[in-house]
Amino acid sequence: MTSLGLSKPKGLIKLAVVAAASVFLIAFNHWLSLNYLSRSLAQQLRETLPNKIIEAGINESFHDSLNDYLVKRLNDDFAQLHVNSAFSAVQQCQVQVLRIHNKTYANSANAARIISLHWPINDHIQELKLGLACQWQWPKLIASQLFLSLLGLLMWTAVAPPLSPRRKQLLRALTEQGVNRRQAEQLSSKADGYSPRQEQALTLFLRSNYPHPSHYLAHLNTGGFKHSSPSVLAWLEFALRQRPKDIADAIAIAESPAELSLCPANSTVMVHGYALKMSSTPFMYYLWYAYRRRQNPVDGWFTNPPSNRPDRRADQEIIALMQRYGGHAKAINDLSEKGLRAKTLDQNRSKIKDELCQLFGEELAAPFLFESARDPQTARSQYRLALPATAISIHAPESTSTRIATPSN
Amino acid sequence: MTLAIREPMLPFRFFSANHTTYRAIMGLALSLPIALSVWMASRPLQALSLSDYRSYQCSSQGAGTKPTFKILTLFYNYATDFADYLCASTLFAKSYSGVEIRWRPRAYLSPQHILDEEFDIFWNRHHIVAGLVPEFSNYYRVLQQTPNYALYWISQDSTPQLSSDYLQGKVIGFSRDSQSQTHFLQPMAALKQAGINLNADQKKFYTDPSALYAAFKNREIDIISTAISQVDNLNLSTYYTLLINPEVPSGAWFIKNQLHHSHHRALECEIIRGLQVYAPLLAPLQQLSVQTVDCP
Repeated sequence: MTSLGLSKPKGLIKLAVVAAASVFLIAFNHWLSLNYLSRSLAQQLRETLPNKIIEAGINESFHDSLNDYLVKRLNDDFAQLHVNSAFSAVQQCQVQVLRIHNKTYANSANAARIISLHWPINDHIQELKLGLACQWQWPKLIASQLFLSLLGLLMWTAVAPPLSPRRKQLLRALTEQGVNRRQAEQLSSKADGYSPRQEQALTLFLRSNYPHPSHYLAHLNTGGFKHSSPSVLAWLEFALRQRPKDIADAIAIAESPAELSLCPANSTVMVHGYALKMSSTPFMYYLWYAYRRRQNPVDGWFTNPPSNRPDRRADQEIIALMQRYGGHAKAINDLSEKGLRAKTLDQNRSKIKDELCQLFGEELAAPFLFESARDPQTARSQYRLALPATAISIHAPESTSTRIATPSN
Repeated sequence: MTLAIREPMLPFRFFSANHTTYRAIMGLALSLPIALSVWMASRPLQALSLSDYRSYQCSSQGAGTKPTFKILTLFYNYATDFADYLCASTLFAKSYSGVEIRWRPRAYLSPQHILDEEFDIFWNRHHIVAGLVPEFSNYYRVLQQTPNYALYWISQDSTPQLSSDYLQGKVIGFSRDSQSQTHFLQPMAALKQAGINLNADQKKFYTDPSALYAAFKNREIDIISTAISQVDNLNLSTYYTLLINPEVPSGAWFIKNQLHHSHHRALECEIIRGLQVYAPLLAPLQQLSVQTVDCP
């Protein structure tokens, strides 16, 4: 059983099935053999025996002593009946007269089958009751029926249902990548039950040519990506591109929540679980917008200052952040001298967008960038981070060194 | 296998080409073991060889290449006792390896049997034997005459009468064996003599005497013809009789002439002693048997 690559519970189930089928076949063969033998005996005897009994009683006035004689002779004739085949598990049988001419000679308790013969004598039906008993070659019976059960199970397990096109493709991909056949079958066994999202994920995985499909199939087979949103799959596509050799990391990125985490210590942002080291100054502005969004969860908008009048209050906030987290001195001086200008804000938002879009693409980056509106009081543009405040965190990122990607600008 | 495709790189498992094929193979996986089991269970018995229940054989002590003593009689009763007696005889064992006794219908005995001296002794009626081979005395002679007996009409209801009025609506039982004196020839002759013609539905014919007696006891027939000794065996509460013939000859045991020499006298006497096993059957006939050989 183990050679078929069965897991332990499945192996036990199949063992139980073989045992049950063998018991059934043994009982069935036993029952049928007796039925067949009694039927064929009855058929043979029906043709000859009544006539022989009638002839034996010729000119007889009373049957009493003749009955005794007939019973002895018949029992002698039927003492050893053999089946004419090496395939039968019946060792030998005996037939014993139970009743003849209304006289009982033996009880039927020991008979496996009762054969009744009837014939008419002057409108009166005569009856001969015979009891059939057989001895069995039990080892042969058990072994043969066990073999038949195993044969049935072998056919049952060796032939699989037709493969779906998807599973066929998967099996081929797996075997081409060197996965052994048994594992490939097991890994692909749930492929037909994948949700549409899992199907899409599988397509992405296959396209990635990752050398160990068992890793992602194990994840899919345990329900990974079953109810994922389309954006998760988009992130998976991105992550597989970025981490072609680390499937676990790629999956973790794809399945990370849509959150933004900023780590001022090293100007790194964690976007959807993926760390990106940013240029210092755009990062400080990103951080400043993040603070504003977190401090005013309902609102959080910041209206661009008018082009002719820099904002002299907000610039202090940014300067403080830059000073605390090591911003460029030039940027701090500019702010100190010129105040916070709309142009500076626009330029830095644009740089933030560029850095994120360059790595993630516009579609993935969009939720982590800015949304804008018209300030109803000033009619100027106002901006805030598009993410809800709860999805934004600011802290020193933990162990991000392995995930940091430096934008190539 | 044309029904299934084998996937490359999958050396052990077959995938069905389509669902129909798969269902067919699964059906086969279920039905093949059952079909093979059915086939195994349906192996035939060796051909039955039933022996002849109309004969009995026994072996004498020290049986060798000596001949078998063959006897022909009419019925089973006492046949095996007779054979066993002879087989047990040390005297008999000197000449015979064993005994075979057959019981056959009256019509079985043929002229050829007599000419070939097939049987060492046989029982039959004189007129039958003489009718078959008028010169039968060249081959056989009487060893022992069996006694004559009185034959009666028997009824359970009233004393039988050979009159049309009495027999009106009554059924008489006969034997199918038209050579039977007791159950066919004698009663038919009596009816003829009385000038009575029975309707077809007043005559009922039976395969053997046991069936005739059972039918009479069950009142399926009203009248039969038989000896009183036989009626006694029926254990009837009451019965009525009318004599048909007081002296019906029963027949005789015939013995092969070849045996009937003086040095075989002891052997013949042993046979006659053996025939005493029939005494319970013959004693009620109240006639002594006639011995044709003087035995001590």
